[in-house]
Amino acid sequence: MSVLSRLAKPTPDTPFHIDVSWWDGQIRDFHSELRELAHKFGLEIPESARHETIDSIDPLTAQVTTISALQYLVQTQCGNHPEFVNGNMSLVDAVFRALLKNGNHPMTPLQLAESIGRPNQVDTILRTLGSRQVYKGIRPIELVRNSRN
Amino acid sequence: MLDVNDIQHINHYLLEIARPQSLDNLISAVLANRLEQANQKQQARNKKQMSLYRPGQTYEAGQQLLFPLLENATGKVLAVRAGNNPDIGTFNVIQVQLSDGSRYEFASNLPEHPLNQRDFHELAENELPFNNLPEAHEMALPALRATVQSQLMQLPDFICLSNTWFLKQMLLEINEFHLNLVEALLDMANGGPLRTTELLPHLGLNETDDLSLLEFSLNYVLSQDDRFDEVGPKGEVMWYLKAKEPAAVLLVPPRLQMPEYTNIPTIHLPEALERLVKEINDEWDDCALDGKPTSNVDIFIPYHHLTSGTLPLNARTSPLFPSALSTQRVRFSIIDGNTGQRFSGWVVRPGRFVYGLAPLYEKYGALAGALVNIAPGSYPDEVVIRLHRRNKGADWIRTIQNQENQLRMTMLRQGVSVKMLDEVAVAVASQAEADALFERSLNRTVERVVEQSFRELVKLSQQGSVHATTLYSTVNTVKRLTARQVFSVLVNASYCEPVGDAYWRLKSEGGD
Repeated sequence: MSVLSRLAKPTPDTPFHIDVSWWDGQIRDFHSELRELAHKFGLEIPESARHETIDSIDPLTAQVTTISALQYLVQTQCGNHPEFVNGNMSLVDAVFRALLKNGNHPMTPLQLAESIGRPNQVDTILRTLGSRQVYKGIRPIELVRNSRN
Repeated sequence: MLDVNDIQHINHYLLEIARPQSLDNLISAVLANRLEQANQKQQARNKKQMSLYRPGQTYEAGQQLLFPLLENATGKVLAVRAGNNPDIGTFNVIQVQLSDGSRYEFASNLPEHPLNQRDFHELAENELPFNNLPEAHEMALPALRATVQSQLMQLPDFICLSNTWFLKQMLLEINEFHLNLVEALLDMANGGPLRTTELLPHLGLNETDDLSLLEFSLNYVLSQDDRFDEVGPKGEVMWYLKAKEPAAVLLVPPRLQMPEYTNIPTIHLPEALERLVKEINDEWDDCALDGKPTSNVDIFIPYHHLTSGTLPLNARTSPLFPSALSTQRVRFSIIDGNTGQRFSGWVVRPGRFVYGLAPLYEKYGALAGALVNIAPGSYPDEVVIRLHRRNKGADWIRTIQNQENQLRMTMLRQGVSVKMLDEVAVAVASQAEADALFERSLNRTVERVVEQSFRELVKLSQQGSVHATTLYSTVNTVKRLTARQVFSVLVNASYCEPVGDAYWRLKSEGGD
């Protein structure tokens, strides 16, 4: 294993996001996942939401990420629901929803642990997200390294 | 904190120099590289007169921008389009190509964003708090040592021996045949120790290879093999055959094994006892050193060390014995301060003791409480140990006896030829009796052992009082407890009370 590939090993300060392209190779697509979430929280999704895109702006770096209107609706309408992220769901689901709520702007395991209300589980989050297995497209992102310190 | 570029630079540096390097050399290489990169960036910035990226400003295609939050990355605006977000209103999106070729989008014409107000001046100024390499060494090197070391330790491609670093992939090949030869060489040397340079000529390795690299490679391979132990003092690599090491060096002698007592309360001791804890300086009481280390110290030998042929490695004594950066056991020479005779000794850091004193104790007929002076020798691997001799005579000494598996104490005349500390002086009627009591007390509670010792000591005192140090010394003939532990049990006991100056007596039967 090369030095560089080892260095890519995530740390508690490595930002993660949902890599939407990862879902392309899966049986279930990203938008089906979002539609199910919307349905759970009683959100009506207009047909146009699937094709329309929204520019989501990172509150720290002002980086723009283009997301589907469906994702935007889930983020803004469902994300504020008190049960959107709760202590009864699996760690991966909680992290997935926390990222959605944050507009899929990258978050570190430290920030994620805080965001999902499990501040003592930074290591667990890191081990889960840092393993070879990718869960729900959650992967490290390199661009914003160090920008959130 | 090292980043990806720094690690890559260290990798290239070691590949290029092809020789193990000290940690300081690696840090120096990193600092030099950072300085060079910072200078290049500054020059590029000056040349292009770049603007800092702020989301509130308007940009046009072709403009050069600097992104301080993205590690001062620079980029060129490729295109501008209208942004689309119903919650934000009108804004633009600029497509930017960073200097590494990657493309990202950022907001512009966006008046409401925290980046518009952020002060980047401070960030830029703090980026490198030095301007040249000597200044960097002075300011950054001491602070970086621990951080860089712990970061490199986590990277399996880098290996470290005695504070020298190298790349695993560049080690010379040392195979099982060479290791077997080393084993035979050490065996012939009665276990060792032998320096790496003494081993190398016998291994038939390629003599055209760099000697320092040969040494490093052999040291690394030996350190990974359980047959061998690195026992050299700081700055010297010396090898020993583990199978030939004394048993006590590999396995802590029973009398020195420190059990974990969970039922001893942690209490605030009276000042007199707290002072005694520091004076006794039991190696497991973790007493800090008061003031600077001295060039030599006098300590008394407690029974558990006397019978194990050891000395405690505590805050006062440890600066006088050879230390090592990573080795757990260091072999050294004990010089008898009275005659100059040499014995082999071992510093056993995990067990917090120094082994090899038995011949010296036997030679001078030392009893528990004997005073011993410890001073450094002429070389780093020598320590001068001197028992204070006196005219031989028979003194009345507290003596421990085993009566039907119970601890009993009496005053008996014992032959004494070295100076003793009276409060600690204690003898045993026979080793067998002491061992039987020790075995028996393994199943007895700490409180019971302390009480029994206390009541026996009271009988020997005309005033009916017991000095806390005497109690510590007596208890440790039958059960291993630190001074703080003994005193904590004493303070909590209902059968005794303090009478001043660390003396304690039995409470009268009527209570107070």
